[in-house]
Amino acid sequence: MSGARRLGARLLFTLAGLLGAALPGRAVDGGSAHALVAGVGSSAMPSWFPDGTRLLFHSRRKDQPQRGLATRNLWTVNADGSGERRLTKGPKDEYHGVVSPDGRRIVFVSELNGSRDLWIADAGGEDAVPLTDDPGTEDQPTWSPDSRRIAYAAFPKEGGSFDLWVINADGSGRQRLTTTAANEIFPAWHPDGDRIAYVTDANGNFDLYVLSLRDGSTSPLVVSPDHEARPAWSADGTRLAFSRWPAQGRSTDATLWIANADGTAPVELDAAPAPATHPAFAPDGRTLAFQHRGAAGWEIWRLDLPADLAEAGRIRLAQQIRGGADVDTAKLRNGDTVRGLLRESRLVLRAPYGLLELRAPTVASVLFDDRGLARVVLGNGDTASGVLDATELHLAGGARIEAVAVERLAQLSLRAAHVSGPGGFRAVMRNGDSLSVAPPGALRLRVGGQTIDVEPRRIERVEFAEGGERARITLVGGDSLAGDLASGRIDLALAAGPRLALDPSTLRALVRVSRAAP
Amino acid sequence: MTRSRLAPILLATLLGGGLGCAGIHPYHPNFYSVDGDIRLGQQFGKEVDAELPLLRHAALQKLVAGIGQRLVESSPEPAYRLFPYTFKVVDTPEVNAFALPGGPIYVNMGIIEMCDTEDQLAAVLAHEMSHVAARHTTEMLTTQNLTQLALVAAVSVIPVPVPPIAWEGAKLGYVLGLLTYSRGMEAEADRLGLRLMNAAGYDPAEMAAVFRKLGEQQRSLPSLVERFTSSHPLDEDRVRAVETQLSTLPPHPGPVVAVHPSTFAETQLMFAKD
Repeated sequence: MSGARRLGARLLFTLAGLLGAALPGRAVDGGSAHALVAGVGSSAMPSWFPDGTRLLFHSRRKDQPQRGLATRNLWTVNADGSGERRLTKGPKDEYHGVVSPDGRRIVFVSELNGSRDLWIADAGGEDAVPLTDDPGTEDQPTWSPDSRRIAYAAFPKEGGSFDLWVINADGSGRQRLTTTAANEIFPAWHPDGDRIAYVTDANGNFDLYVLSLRDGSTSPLVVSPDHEARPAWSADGTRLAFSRWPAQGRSTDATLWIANADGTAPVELDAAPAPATHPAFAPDGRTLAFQHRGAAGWEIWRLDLPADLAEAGRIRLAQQIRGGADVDTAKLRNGDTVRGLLRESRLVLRAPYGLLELRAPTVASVLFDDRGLARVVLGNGDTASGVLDATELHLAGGARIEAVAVERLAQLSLRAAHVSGPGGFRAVMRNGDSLSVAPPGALRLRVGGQTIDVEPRRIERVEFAEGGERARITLVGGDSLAGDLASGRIDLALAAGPRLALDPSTLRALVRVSRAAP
Repeated sequence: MTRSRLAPILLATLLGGGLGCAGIHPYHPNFYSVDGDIRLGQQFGKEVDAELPLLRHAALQKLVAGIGQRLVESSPEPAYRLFPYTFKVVDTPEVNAFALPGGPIYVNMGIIEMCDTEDQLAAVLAHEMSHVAARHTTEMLTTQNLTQLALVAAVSVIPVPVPPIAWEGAKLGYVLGLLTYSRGMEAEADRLGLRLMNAAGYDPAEMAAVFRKLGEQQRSLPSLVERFTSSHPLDEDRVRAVETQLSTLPPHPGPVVAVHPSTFAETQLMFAKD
């Protein structure tokens, strides 16, 4: 495409010859996207049939009025956008249909009985029966890989928050999987059957976590100051797709992302027009269906993934800006790209809560906003924001060293980020940063007239009040206590290396990232 | 005491006690006291609650009530503070919101889904709260049906007059039917709502934006907004009137910042049907 030529022409210098890197980067192959269902009402939430020839989705159309309302009903369409067929004709909304992995049944949400219930039908939409039928809300179903169970998000009529539940496809064996006060939504069952990705607002914004069905433990998958939602696994289980939008932005700004199954190396799929959300992998893993909001409503689109992302194997961190090579890549504000090996061994970030001295090999990428504020993503998914304490960086190619002024940088993507230090807890900072840390020391709390030291092994979660004077500690097992903090500064060792002595007012929460099942 | 002997007494009480009572425009005839509005709303609210599928999700309730609370607390008109507002979410795709006299406000998921921002939802709530503060429903009842009020008075010793059907056990359709406002009342709720938004730090221009979205919905899926547009007549003149008034609003001292900048999008996503 022309963008490729433009970028190519702008390259200042490159190690392509030296390292055999493909050139240029981002614009070579961003994939291609086109609409499958558009211009006829609002259509959303695509789900592939396992043979990859058709998609299930729901649509609300002007020409389908029922009892005075145009309701959402389930439809299918061929993978090339031809052959639309309406499956259900319920007088109330029917939506969020998902095809079972064996292709024999569909589960969907229906409001026929007055609230959101899960219903199950054969693959043609016939013989629909309610799977759940209570006055609460059941929504967002996902099938187990053996097509025998369904996980979903629900909350009771009496009120509360969303938790994850599971039920057998015959309606028996309903079981609650999570019990937190936070909302757990949009479960996605991994093809190995042992884990479920989901969205939680436990950290104050939406992040992706994963729940182990073996031991009930939960751990972060993609955690950042942004919102991540609607996870989907590839059929081979090696890739994760999701949508992401800025913390202070709108969900209508959402774009599609793809990452390794462990959440590392997230790559933005910029060929999918924003707003784009609800990705669904085609069975071959080379195509994503998703929904894009057009002028008249949501539309069903498909994105053929860029060749290097469609290939099996781990996504490399350099692909974050589609550099595609084992070099460090700097994208400049004027659109130029500079490649080479970063000479700096450390990057120093002045964060609102302290100075972070990061070893360069632990850094995956640095994004600079319009004001020059740097957002650092580490190899383990940690994020930290602040001002980079440098005026220029140096990239070496052969005998030549290129100095790049930091103020000219839009993005820096480093080639081989790796973080191996101990984690155990996640520190969620008040500015939105999210850092994996080793267990803290004992926390001293004054409760009533008593001073209590709470050992880290007993701590499930600590929430700090805005001024940092008070904290509420949730203990392993569910008990909680609140009181005045008497610990002074809190020493934390980042998994990425640096140690911080934090003023408690800079912390929003400390969260155990692996916990026992309730 | 027979009905016919009680009627004149109660009617006289109502006439004596109600005229010129508190409100945004105290000289409009209204036989109801402020307490009367509140009790009428509570009675209607019981019927509405029993009939409509309410969504009692903690974060959703917190979001809607939080916006309402911010509007009330920032209100430039003391009349807003006369009423105990309650905010309930109705789980229906129909694009609608309505207020009962005295404070109960109902917001359908359909309209929450339609809004892009917290400011747009605040525009909807500010408009509905203005109907309450201006006491439009009881003003209409007062001017509409004196005869019926007299009949009610004749059969009941309850201190607050309610329309006959409500007294017999209001039906949802009847209650909603009462809420068909005149164009003048709609224009007033728009004008008051804009000032309320402005004082609370919301962007009042979003009221025009939300009206335009409703207009689009009316063209693409008319049945979804039928009830809203029948009770809130919506045309280009009304949108233009709102836009014209934007320039007349006093400058707000602080920046326009949403109460929960990300919570709106988060809450919307939890319930997304698309």
